[in-house]
Amino acid sequence: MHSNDAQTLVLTVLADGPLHGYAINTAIEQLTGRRLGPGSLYGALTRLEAKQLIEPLAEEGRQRPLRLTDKGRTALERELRTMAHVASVGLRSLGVGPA
Amino acid sequence: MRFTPVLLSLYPRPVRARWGLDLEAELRTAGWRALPGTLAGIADLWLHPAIWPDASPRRRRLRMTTMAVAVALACGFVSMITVELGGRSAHAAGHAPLMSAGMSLILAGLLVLAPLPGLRGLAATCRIGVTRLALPATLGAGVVIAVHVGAGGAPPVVRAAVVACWWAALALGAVQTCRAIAAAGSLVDPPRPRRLRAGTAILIAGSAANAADLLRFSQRAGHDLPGTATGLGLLVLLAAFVLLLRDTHHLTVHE
Repeated sequence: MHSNDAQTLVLTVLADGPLHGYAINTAIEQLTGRRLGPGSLYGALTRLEAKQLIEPLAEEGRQRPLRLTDKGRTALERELRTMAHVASVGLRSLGVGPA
Repeated sequence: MRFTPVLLSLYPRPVRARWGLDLEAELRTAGWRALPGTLAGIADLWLHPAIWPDASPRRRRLRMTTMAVAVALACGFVSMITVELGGRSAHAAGHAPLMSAGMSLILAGLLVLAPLPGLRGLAATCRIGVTRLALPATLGAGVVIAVHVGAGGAPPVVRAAVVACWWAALALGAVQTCRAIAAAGSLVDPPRPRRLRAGTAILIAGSAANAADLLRFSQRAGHDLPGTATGLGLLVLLAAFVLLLRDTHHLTVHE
């Protein structure tokens, strides 16, 4: 899985509400059936925070939950719309209806 | 994974500080299959200090500067040690104008990148520099004194020990220089994006010149191993510079 895919997955699961790192991966596992490796997940989280698409909340115990920023929400919507368009064009070309 | 504490310690400190507990839990549950990806992820984070968490724009520039200096000193060190201790072709490469130009460019790039100490923290900055560099400077001075009092005529074991001390002093000096820059932190003014870009570009040119020189002479000598290995190693370090230069383009002019 490419780093951008990992970033999209993180943004997608955070769209439901704030989660901390381990819970983010558990949500990704529920969504895709596979956990991201530590290398992919924490690379994605670090990049998303640097791009200000996610932000940390106050610490809960020793963990800091993360939430989507407005910028992150906009970026995710744009990404998902592009993916939906690509999926619809691809399915039409294959002569298959949407699932 | 069995080596979770070791793997965790390989991550950059700001990353550990931010994700420590979650990261540790993730590493514990990950299997051996995740090891290559984890190591690649760690290397990727080290190569992009600009994205580490908890960074003010100033701190981000300081981290990038420290990395550029570290890679430049590594390039300079491996070039010098190969020229001095490598085969005949590496020695010849060291006396070629291209290598002189490369070393001059590396020196110029380091000068361009040098963080400037503020007047208020000048004494504290000097104290950090002196503390960090005392050991390598003493070791280097000891070698110079030993050579002047006749270590050249000493038994081979002693001469080898003196040479080893010299290279150890240079290597330690390089490491401590980077640590001094990082430790100076709030006391120095790291280069602005334009200067950071210019310095990194000069370092790329210098390292490329050294790599080209070593590879050219090594090829002439029928692929001399030390020259070829160092030339290729410099090309790998060059990739780190290129990534850093790319990251400087994400810095805004006002940072």
